[in-house]
Amino acid sequence: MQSKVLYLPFLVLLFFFSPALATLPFDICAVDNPNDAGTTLLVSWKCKDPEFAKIYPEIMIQRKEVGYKKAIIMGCIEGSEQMQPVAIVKCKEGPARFKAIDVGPEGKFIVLQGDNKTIEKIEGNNLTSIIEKLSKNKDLEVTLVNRNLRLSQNTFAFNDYETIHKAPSAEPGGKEDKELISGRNYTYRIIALNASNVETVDYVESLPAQPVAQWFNTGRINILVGVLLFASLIILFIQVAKRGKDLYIRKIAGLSAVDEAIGRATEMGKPILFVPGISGIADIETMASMVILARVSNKVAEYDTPIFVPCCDPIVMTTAQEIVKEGFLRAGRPDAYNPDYVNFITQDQFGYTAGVNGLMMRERPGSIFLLGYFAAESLLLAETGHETGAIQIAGTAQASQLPFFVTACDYTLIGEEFFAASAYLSREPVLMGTLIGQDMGKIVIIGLIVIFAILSLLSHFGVLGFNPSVVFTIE
Amino acid sequence: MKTTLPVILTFLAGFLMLFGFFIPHYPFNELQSTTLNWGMIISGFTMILGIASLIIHHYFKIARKVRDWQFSIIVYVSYLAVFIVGMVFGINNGLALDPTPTGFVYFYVFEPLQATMFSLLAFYIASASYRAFRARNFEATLLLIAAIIVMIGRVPIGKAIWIYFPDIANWIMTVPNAAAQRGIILGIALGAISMSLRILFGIEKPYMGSSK
Repeated sequence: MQSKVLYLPFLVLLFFFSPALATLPFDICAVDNPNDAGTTLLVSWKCKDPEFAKIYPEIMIQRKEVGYKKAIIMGCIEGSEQMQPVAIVKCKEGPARFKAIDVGPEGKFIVLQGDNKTIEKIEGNNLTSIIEKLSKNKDLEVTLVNRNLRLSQNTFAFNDYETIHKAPSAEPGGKEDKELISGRNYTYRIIALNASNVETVDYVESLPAQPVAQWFNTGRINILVGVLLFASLIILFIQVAKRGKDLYIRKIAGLSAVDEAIGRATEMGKPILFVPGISGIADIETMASMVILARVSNKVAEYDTPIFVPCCDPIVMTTAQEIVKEGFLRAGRPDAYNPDYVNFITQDQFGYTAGVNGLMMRERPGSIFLLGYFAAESLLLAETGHETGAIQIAGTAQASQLPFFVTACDYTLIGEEFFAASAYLSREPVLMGTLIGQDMGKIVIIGLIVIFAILSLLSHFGVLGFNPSVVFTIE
Repeated sequence: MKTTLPVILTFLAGFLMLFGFFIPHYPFNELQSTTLNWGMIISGFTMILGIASLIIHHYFKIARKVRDWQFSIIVYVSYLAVFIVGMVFGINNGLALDPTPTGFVYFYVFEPLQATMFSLLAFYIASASYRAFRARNFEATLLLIAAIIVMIGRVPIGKAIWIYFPDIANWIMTVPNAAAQRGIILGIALGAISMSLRILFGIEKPYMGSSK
């Protein structure tokens, strides 16, 4: 008992002079984001004392890279003294490697010092050359933030802790901290702010956490299952088609009318206009458009009808040139091909629209094909085409543009009809198989919609103990 | 070999991108942004092809004096004027209203022309709606009634006429309209996946200048 009384003054002294740690009533935790490339951590926090939250209504979440010392080179815009970061310099902590980044009198030189030696001394006040010289030092990591600033008088600022978020202290919260470096350790601390924005000296710090890259995104497993199932159905029906089984495809008016439209233009002695949309060749709609162009160019070559393909993208133009040229070659009339049939107009959306509309009004084509990706220009093109009296066939995967085409064109390829062109027009078994597989996929999806609608209802009324829509959640 | 190599390249490139979607680890996570950068560089060079096509196309129009060849001179004059102004005066990055002559051309010539083209849409919508909403048959009459309810329900006077107009308009948009749209979008998505698989497996090769 006596010995305990003797220890008491020492314990009281220890309490008052101990470093400020974990004294704020907060729980803070940082964990690796499970499905990322090792560049994010998930930080969460919770206040344990509501009375404390009333006195300190706001908190700051700050991050530190464990084992690294960081300095920020500051600068300001010409004519202003407001300081902004120019570059961030980081170096591994250690007595001989990195201690300070400093600026000489009037911002003339920057010195990086170790305990006993100078690591880097850069003279001059040209920011660009300073940053370049710092970047050459292999011990340093230099990240340029803003080049368009001039060096200020106070050129450095130590800032091992970086504020990443501000939040109300009363509510539990979380944040995904991004752009971290895989394999390094990070700690997070909370500092509270009172109503006058004065920071607490104390803070509470999380245990270190390390972002780790994953080899599989488990949040996307449902998509993988869907893709494999759909691909299996398509491959299965390709095999069925190859065995010679007769496969039925419903009549698609827009595709059946392709030959009719070409024939009509030929009879009238008018050219054909083929508009492949405003997107690039990487767009699946432009690809589908090129497939139909191959068929159309083959027919126009047979009938000796001129075709115009104005393009909005140079790569699409090159592809379309090849397709039309081959169409004429396949028809045995390579001499009839005119390089002027396919040309580039402009990459600007409305400039292209003006160019195509002008072509429509000057050439008065007998048939117009509007197939590909279209946006706001869809009705401008389709209405002008309607004014010329041409037979119009349109198709796009943009659901918002379909009503305009339905209104202004004679035939519209709606939804998947646009992508069914190659199979429908060629009737090749392999392509037909993919189409049937696609339809089967649709049946499976309709079945899933019905099943999960029933399950959701059961979950809503408390019969099921879980939310079935979780199955379709995608990360 | 002439046809096999592009198919192999397409197959490999396509599947690498697919892996990149499921594998977040380096280097798969950077495949998409890297190929996007490659695409931008390549498309920068292909602009030369586009410009060459434009110049040659209009040169022959002028040389052959085809109908309306005078417009081709306007193309040349406009193209050269903007090109020279851009090369001589450059652009001033980071400013909302670029005070250079290039900025003047952009903000006081190019943008108003774009806006003019876009504003034409209002007149085209009027003429197209007139045709679409003619009550020729039962479906067209249904469309006309739905359109009138939605239009009245979306303007303040609609609520003044009958308090339930906005609710009915919202119901039309969020229930029958959304259901039909989702059906179409579902079909489009499946069609696009099916076409992508055909291209990946080399069943269809539109990028090689033929449909097969």
